[in-house]
Amino acid sequence: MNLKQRDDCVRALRDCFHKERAKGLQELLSSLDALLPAGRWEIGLCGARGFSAAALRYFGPSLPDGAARALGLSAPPGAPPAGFPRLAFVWDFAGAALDAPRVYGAELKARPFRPRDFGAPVAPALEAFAALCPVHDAVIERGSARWALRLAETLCWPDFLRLDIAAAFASAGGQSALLMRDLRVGELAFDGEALWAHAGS
Amino acid sequence: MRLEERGWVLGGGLCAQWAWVHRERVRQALAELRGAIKGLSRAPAGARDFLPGLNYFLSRSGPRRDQLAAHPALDYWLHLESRQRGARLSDADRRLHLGLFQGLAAALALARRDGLKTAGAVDPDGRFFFYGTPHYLSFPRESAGEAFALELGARKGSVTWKGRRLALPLKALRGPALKAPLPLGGVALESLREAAPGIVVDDAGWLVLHGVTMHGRRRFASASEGDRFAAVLSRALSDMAERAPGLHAELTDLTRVLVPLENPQGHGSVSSSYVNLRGAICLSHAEDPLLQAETLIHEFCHMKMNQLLSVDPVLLPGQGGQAFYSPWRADARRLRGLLLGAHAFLNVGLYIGRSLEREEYGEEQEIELMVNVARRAEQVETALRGLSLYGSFTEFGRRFMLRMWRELAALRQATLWYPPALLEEQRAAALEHRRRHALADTGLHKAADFVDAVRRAPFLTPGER
Repeated sequence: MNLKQRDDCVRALRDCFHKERAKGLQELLSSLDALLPAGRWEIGLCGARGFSAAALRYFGPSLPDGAARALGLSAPPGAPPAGFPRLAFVWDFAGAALDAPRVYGAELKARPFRPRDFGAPVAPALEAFAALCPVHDAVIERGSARWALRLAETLCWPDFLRLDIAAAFASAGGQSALLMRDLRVGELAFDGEALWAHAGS
Repeated sequence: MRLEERGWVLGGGLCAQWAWVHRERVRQALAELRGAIKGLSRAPAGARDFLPGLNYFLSRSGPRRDQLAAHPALDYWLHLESRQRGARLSDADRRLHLGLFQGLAAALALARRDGLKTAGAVDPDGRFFFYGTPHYLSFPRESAGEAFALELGARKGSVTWKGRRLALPLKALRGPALKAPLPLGGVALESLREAAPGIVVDDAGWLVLHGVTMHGRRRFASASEGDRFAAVLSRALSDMAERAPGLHAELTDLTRVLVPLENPQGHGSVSSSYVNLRGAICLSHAEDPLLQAETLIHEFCHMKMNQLLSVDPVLLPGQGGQAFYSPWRADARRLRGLLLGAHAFLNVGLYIGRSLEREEYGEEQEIELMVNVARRAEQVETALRGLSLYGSFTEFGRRFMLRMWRELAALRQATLWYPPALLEEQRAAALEHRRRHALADTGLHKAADFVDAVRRAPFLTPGER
């Protein structure tokens, strides 16, 4: 999504849920926009934590020095593989805290998706998921429990909500649809504790 | 076999496909039974007294055996069996579990006039049911859980209990429901009422009633109460035989047991059916045969769909997200729920519509029935819409859905002669329900705590600022 769509999402989060707590996020993004080269954004919603957590991921060229310093990085990070985000911000609205941004580098590796790589009981669920939503590849982070499935074709939000794997998101179904609007889910991710759905245009 | 959608959307009668799906169900049941018998090889010696009945049932093929293999008692028995597998059962529990099955074997032997020697067990209510017939033996209540020897043959039969051999009246056991208990010397032969040949009203069978968990069961306070319950259902079924013979044929083929329920709130009707008790419909009493027909058709359609879904899932697996608006509920439902609801209420609406066309009713009842049909048409359309917007279907499922839309068109056609104001009122009621529980014109559910503070462009009408 472009900047307008990103700001509409953040405004919706603020106006519908978090009011003052979301203000800090909007201010941070505004300050970064002046520093970051033009790129695209994706929003992520956490199934377990509903609207108490959101992720914004930035896809674009390398970070200039000014942006790296503003983010508190000692040196601009190395390049992640093509198609991966540069930065991810996770905002915990419950505590009104912005986690330190996640900066992606060469630790990410994409490989063909094989359900058996995930073991029981996850494998059968992912197999059923992939039968309905073909998966382009899997991203497994070495040394962590985190993984992501990047979809061959994006899904509109209601089509995602109908899936077994979206059970954690279903309770906020209508509300989340109001937020996601015409954004399309392109990635299903697991952060070691909960599932995330990442969506862009 | 290629499934044809029409007979599954509406009542197609006892056609080749119906028989094929039934055979699949029987095949699955017998495979599970085989597994249960295998598990008995490691059971204590006493348990093996019950093996003859199990082996006999498996060994005999034919229509009567297959009919019993689709009895709700066996459905539920296999459910209990799968739950108990691997668990350490007490001798008493194992005896009860294996003894309950013997009623099915005994009913088969009676019908075939075969010889059978096996053990039986008295259920916790002091009875032994010949499942698939209306008959049961009543023992003294304190004999609950006791085993007995059962011997059946072409001309003679007996029960040996507490060292006493009691002759069984085989002619009565092979006949229709008894009007009064038949004493057999400490034990009595009694019968459940029948609402139609082969369909019993069961307020006493421990195995079947054990599976009825959603609503309170009703024990008839008097014989006349039970007779009235059965009589209204009998009338409902005979009306159905005339108005919808295909539906009637299927319903009476699949349904074996009707369980009476309490209706504590005095709703029009309380009813339920269970995926592990296929062939049992549970419902409260009503004096109106058409209301009872509506309830029977509703629950039967759920059972029919569960049979169908075991051979074709209709919706591709993996779509269990509970996020959708249902015209029948205030809470979010799954797509499967919309599918079952649309199917059941489409058939209910069509049947009531047909009844209105063919019968004379008083003005007040006629209006009520029209309201019912018009409401069902709105609800079915909403459910089909939600399914069509979001569901992914099997090849058969796509044909099934299109057929449901076509039959909805037939239902709309049937309401053309209804008062326009009545139709408009039901449309408005449906829209109001959607306004409260759906996310605008999407098919998504909107929770009670939904917040909509999203900014929108101002909309100006002439004369407004």
